[in-house]
Order: sequence, then C-alpha cells, then structure tokens
Amino acid sequence: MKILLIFFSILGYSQSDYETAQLAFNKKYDQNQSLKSKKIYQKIYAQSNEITDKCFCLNRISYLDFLSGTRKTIELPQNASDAEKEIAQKQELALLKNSIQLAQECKKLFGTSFDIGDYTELTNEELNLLSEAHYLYSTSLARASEIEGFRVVLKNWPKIKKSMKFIINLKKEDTFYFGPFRTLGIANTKMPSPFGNKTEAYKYLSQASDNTTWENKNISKYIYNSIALADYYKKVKEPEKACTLLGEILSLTREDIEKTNPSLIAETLIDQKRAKKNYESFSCN
Amino acid sequence: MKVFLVISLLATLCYSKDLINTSVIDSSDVLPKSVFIYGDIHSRFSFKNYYDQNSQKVSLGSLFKDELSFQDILEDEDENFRSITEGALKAYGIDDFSSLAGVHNAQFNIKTKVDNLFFGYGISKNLSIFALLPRVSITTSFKNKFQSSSKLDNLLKKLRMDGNYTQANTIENITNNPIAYKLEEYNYNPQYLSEKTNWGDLRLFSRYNVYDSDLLKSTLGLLVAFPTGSTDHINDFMKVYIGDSQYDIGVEVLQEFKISKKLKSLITLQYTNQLPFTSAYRIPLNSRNPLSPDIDQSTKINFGDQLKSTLQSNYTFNKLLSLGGGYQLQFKSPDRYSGTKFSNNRYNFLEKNTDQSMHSYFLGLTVNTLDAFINKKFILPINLTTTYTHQFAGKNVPIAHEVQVSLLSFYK
Repeated sequence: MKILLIFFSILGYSQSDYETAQLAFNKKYDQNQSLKSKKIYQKIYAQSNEITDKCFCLNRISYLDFLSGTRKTIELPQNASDAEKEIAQKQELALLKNSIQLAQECKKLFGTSFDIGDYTELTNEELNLLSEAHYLYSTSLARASEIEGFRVVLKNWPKIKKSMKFIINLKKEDTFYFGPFRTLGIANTKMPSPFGNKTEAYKYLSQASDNTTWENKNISKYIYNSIALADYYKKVKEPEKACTLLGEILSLTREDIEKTNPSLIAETLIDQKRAKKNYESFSCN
Repeated sequence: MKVFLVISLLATLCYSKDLINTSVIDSSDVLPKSVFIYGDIHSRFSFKNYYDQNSQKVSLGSLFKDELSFQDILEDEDENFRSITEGALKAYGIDDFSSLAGVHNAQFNIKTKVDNLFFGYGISKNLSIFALLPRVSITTSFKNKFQSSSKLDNLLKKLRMDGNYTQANTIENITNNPIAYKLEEYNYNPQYLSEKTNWGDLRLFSRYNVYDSDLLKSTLGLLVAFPTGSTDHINDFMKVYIGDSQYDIGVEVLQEFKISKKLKSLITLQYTNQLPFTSAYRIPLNSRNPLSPDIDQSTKINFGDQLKSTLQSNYTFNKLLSLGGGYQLQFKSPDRYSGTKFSNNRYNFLEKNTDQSMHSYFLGLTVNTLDAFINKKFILPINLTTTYTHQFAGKNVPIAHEVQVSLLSFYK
C-alpha cells in the first residue's frame, strides 16, 4: 500500500483522490456527490500522464454528465410547463454534448479506426476503456439526437450503430451491462422501417436482459435493459408483457436495490422514475 | 486507401534513415601518412519498382493504383456531411457500400542526384580519417487521376437530374481528390516542392589497419553521422527527407584476402546504431492513413539499426586499370516510436513495414594514375571509379538503378 501511495504521489495526485472520487461516484444519485466526483476526476485527469488514467477519468466525467443530463428531463414533474420542459431539454443537451466530447477525447487516445486489427496490442484494461468510450459517445449522441429531432437521429444513426457494432466486434459486448445490445435494440425499436427492424430489436434486447438477470426476478439488474424491453413490447402491441416488466421494476424497494445492486443505485433509482412515467403513459394501472 | 500509404512510402524512399544502396568498390587500404585525399563522389538513381513487405517486386505505379469503394467515399467525407451522403447513397439505390466507385491511378516519379564531397587524411601509417558531406537533389512528381465506375456515374447523373447538385459535387470532389479534405482539416501544407536541394548528414569515419601481411590485411573502422541535413516541416504532407535528425555511430571490419598479385577479395561487415531522439511527430489515427491532426511534440523516435556486409573481388589488369564487383547484403531492424500523449497502438502504426532488407550487386571500373603520377607519366594523381549497382531482392525497399562516378585526387 505504501508503495502504491508513493507511486500515486509521484504521479502528482494521491491515492486518496482516487478513493474519494470513487466514493463520491458510488453516491452519484446525490447531485453534490456527483459534482464532487466530477471535480476530482477532472483534477486527476489534468495531472496524469498515463493514457489509461486519462481515459478512465474522461469516461467517468462523460458518464456523470450523461446521467446528470438525463435526470434533467426524467425528473421533471408530470405537470411541468412547456417552458420548463424546454429549459430542461436545453440543459440536458448541453450536458450530453459535453459527455460526447469527453468520450470522443478518450476514443482518440487509442485512435479512430474501426478495424479491430488496429487494437490487437491493447491490454484488456485499455480495451475496456475504449469500449466504454465508444458506448458513452454513442448513447449520449443517441439521446442528444433524440432531443434535436428525427432528422438528427437519422443523420447520426450510422455513427451510433458503427460504434456499437465495433464494441461487439471487440468482444466487449458486456460493456455497461450489455450496452451495445441495449442501444441497438432501442434504436431498432424506435426507428421506423426500413431503418429499424423489430426482429433485430427483440434479438438485441432479450440478449441484454438475459445476460444480466436480477436474481429470482424476471427483470434485468440493469433496469434500463428491462425498460427498453418493455418499450419494445409496447411497440409490438404486447402491452401486458410491458406492464408486467414495469410493474416488477416499480416493486423494487430501496433495500432491494442497495442489497443486490450497490454499484447501480443511482442508475436504478433514475430508471425507476423512468419506469414509473412509462407505466403511467402505457396505462398499465 | 493505398494513396495514403504511398505518401508514407514516398517519405521512406528518400529518407536516409532507411537502407540505401551504398555499394562502392571499397578497399581495406588506409592512406599513407600525411597524404590528403579529396574529391567528389557523384551518384544518380531513379525508382520505378519497389520490394514490398512480402518481398514481392511491385511497380510504383501499381502501388498508387487504388480501388475506391463507396465506403471509402463516406470515410473521406467531412464528418458533418457523412451521414447525409450515406442517406443520399441509400436513397439512390446504393445499399452495398463495398461496391466499386472507381479507380485511382496516380503517377509518381522520383529522381535523386547526390554529390558527396569527400575528404581524407593519413594521420599515421596505419590510421586515416575521412569526412563525407552529401549535397542531395531530389525531384518528385505526383499526379492523381480518378476513373469513376458506371455505378458512380449513374448516381451523379441521377443526383444532378433531381437537383441535388451539392451532394453530387461533394462526392465528385472527394473522388477526384480523396485527401484534400483531410489535408485542410488537419492543417497540412498541401503544396510540396517538386525540386529540393540541400545538404545531407555529415559523416566522419576513421580506419585503422591492424594487420597486414602478404596474404591478409585487416582494417577496423569507426563512423559517426551528424544530423546536419535538412529535415521536413511537421505540416508538410509530402515529406522528402534529406537528413535524419539524429546521430549514428557505427563500427566496421574489413578483411582483405590477397589471392594473387592481381586478384584480391574483400569481406566487410558494418553495424550502425541509429541513436534515439525526440521530435515533434504526427501520430496516425489508424494503421491505414498516415495523415493525422494529432501532433506529439515529444515523440521518442528510434530508427532501426543497420547491418551491412559486402563480398567483393578486385582484379588489377595493370597499375592503371582495375575491375571490381561484388554482392552486398543489408538489414535494418524496425523503427520504434513511443510517447505519452496517445496510446501505444497509435505510435505502433508508424512502425509498420519499417524493417528492411536489401540484396544488391555492383560492378565497377577504376582508373588510378597515382603510379603514373609518381613516375611523372601523368600530370595528376587521380582515382576515377565508375560503378553500377542494382538491387535484385529485398523487403520494403525501392529498387534503384544507380550509377556512381567518383573522382578523387591525392595531395602530400
């Protein structure tokens, strides 16, 4: 441990910086902790000379911005005015654009090629970071495009698809709880034919859910996988299945979440709010 | 696309960090004490063919020939318009982006002329020092022509008929000049000097005669190269290097066998270590395209070490005339690049195909008037050698036909 501390102090940042950032990151549902974590990662990034450290920090900040961004609209009250919705969307968009830029920066540290042969010399840790950067870039881009309108979605869809397929080709499809499958599934669900393909959507979404099952439950431990699957069921006119999944998500208690998913508390709580909105809009009651 | 690789190849062709054909009629002799030698070694060579990474002989023209797919067009498109172009292609029935959009035919020529100013001095009976300063002239020409496929022609026609002139023009611009967008985006200087003349790296070397008998003569040598030559600018897209930017140190052994009074054989072995240095360098984004917007100001560069061996025989017809010829084998280990600004894999893209080998033969005729001068039968003590050299096998090296004329004189 002492050696590690000396190592970190030589690098210009302390072991405790990493630990403090991680602790705050774990409590990211609290906006203050999220901000604290972001600031420390920014400090570590500025002082680090290691590519992996830099990329790790960029990904973390990108993810925090993505989460903070999505919360702006998810947490809007049902009765929010149009003006309030517009402000929230603008705030979300700004954070998403920052998230995209940071993930891009991390991607660029390894190169911009989509040929997996260009990455054969990367370590497993580096491949994980690269995959995470591609995932964060694509999800933030997908969400930002959705806010900006259908034309932008169509414009950016090839980029999103290419990044996700690239992660799968790298054999890192388990990135962010099978994020590439989830994103491809969501896109295929939402996009009209011929851009979106419902069979493909189900294939991807069921794979994402099946690989991340919550013990003794019919939902994924990464809740958004199940929300996406519920969206699919709604789209293919199987609302009962959608409502069953959403109902199970809503039945989760804070204790359940903390016990089973301590590292995903923020995500699960945010997604529960998303599930609640969908439950109501699908008229599941 | 191959066109990018060729630009990098062009850099390699002239870069003295790489193997060059240096076959000369050599000797294990050192100068007598207090004798000066001076003169010019002039050589000219041109490239038409190249030995690739598989040691296959390919023409430079074929290296430039590149089939362009619709996917290539999309990748060269400005990122902001890429998706729009992709949409346009799909809307006009081109779903298979891997299909042929056309063929690039580029013409590329390179001619080099080198004048090596040569100077030597005999310090003692057994030890001589020498200096070599090259003056290098390089002439390059590069022309690119695109021949579109009928599929692309039809697409452009349809786009224009439907009033989509901007998209048609964009696609046409990309195919006609595939790297223009990137050069502009990455702040390259798209112009290049078709003729460049400058000083190369100064080389100093010494030779010490350690053993001499009626049958054998053994000589040891040391050499140092100084980075006095001109180098490129970081923004030049077509790099024509004349100097190396770094020091070299080398050792050599020359072993002469005096088979008869008229016939001698020489075996030489030379090892050159190219010392590492730090310089600003553009680090590629992928393995296909050397163009990059990213500059690492402190890239650590270590060019590969070189090993050279020569087997040569000389036949002396009389005191005036002799004929020599032989075989030379050269190897170079891969270049190494590293830095802290980007991941190692990006630096490694620069190392691809930098290991080299070269097999060449040479033949030369020498006229030496030294004896005639001493006997007052000729007004000047000169040594005039004409050598022809040619590579007959190799890896990652250009195939050059080189003619060299060296005119040296002595003074005491």
